[in-house]
Amino acid sequence: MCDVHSRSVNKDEEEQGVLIHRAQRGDTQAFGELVCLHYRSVVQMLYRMCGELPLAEDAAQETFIRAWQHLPRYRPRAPFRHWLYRIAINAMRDMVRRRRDEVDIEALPLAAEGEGPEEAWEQQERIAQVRAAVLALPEASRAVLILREYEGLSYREIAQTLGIPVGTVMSRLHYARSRLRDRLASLIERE
Amino acid sequence: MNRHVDRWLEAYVDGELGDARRRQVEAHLRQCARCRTMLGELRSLSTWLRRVPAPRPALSTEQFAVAVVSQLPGRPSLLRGVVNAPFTWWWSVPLILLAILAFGQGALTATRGVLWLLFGVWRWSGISASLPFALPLPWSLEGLRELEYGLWLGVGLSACSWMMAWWAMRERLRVYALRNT
Repeated sequence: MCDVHSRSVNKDEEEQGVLIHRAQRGDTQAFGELVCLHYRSVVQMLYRMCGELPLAEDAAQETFIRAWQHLPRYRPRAPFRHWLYRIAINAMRDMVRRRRDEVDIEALPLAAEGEGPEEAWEQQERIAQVRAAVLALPEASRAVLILREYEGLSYREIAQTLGIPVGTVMSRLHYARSRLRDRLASLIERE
Repeated sequence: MNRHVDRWLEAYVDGELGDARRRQVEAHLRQCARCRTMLGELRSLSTWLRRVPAPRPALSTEQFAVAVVSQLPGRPSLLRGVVNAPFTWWWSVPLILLAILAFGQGALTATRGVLWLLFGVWRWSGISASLPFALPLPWSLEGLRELEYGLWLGVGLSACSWMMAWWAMRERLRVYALRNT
């Protein structure tokens, strides 16, 4: 199914357009290939949003199922990946709302995985500190920060993806960075 | 010294400034240690954020794709989207009413024109069959003009009504899609 998996998304923009067109007409094989192309980036983006891999994977599954249902109405004004991110963020929001009793976002596992030499352990501790600071941000600011810092979207693309004005993108990003600079002052000064 | 450029620094780091503003920020940075420190902090924050790795998903890409494809549900019909869409755009109601009115008026005018034409043909053929001499055409020049006007108006109004109804439906679908994806 994943014939196109190893190729880059940008390189195969045209081929992706053909897959989207086929999937819009009900071709599940073509949709499976689109899933292969975007699976990893969607899961990783969701993981950065929630900090828990199983939750991110469940939300990714929900994302692709919703994408399948709404694909006939997708118009390629914005890149397909950004359209998926929008669905993914909404799916994650809904799942967290549903599972609020079971999953406490503030208490998600943040500790470093595995053990190693002391220096590596310290580095892992610092990284856990950064991850905790990101997860402590309000969801709206966190989404803007992740799309900018990890996904490299421009302000305009973030605005289109989240359906908010560019001014709001800038203010949320500024808020997120200010909060992070306060919380991570010791790390930032040491750099 | 120029005024500090704090408010532009984030856009500068993100590559979102226009050429003129970017040059202005760069000129200021060359002479302002305070703003350079702030810029350094922003870049350092960015570096730290990028050091946070995302783990590899538990399922392989192939396994995940197979799992997703095996669970794909049927697609909701467009009609369901139209029916379930919320009436957020209050103006779609008068638009739909206007479209119905325009369509009705157009259909009525066009029907009248066609009936007038059929009646004229019937009258002309009926009388001409019973008389030994030829009759002039049963419709006047004004009648012909009315027929043409009626047909064009009918076609035009029907097209307008169709476009308005299509647009209103599309807006409702758009709102529905935005809320449900």
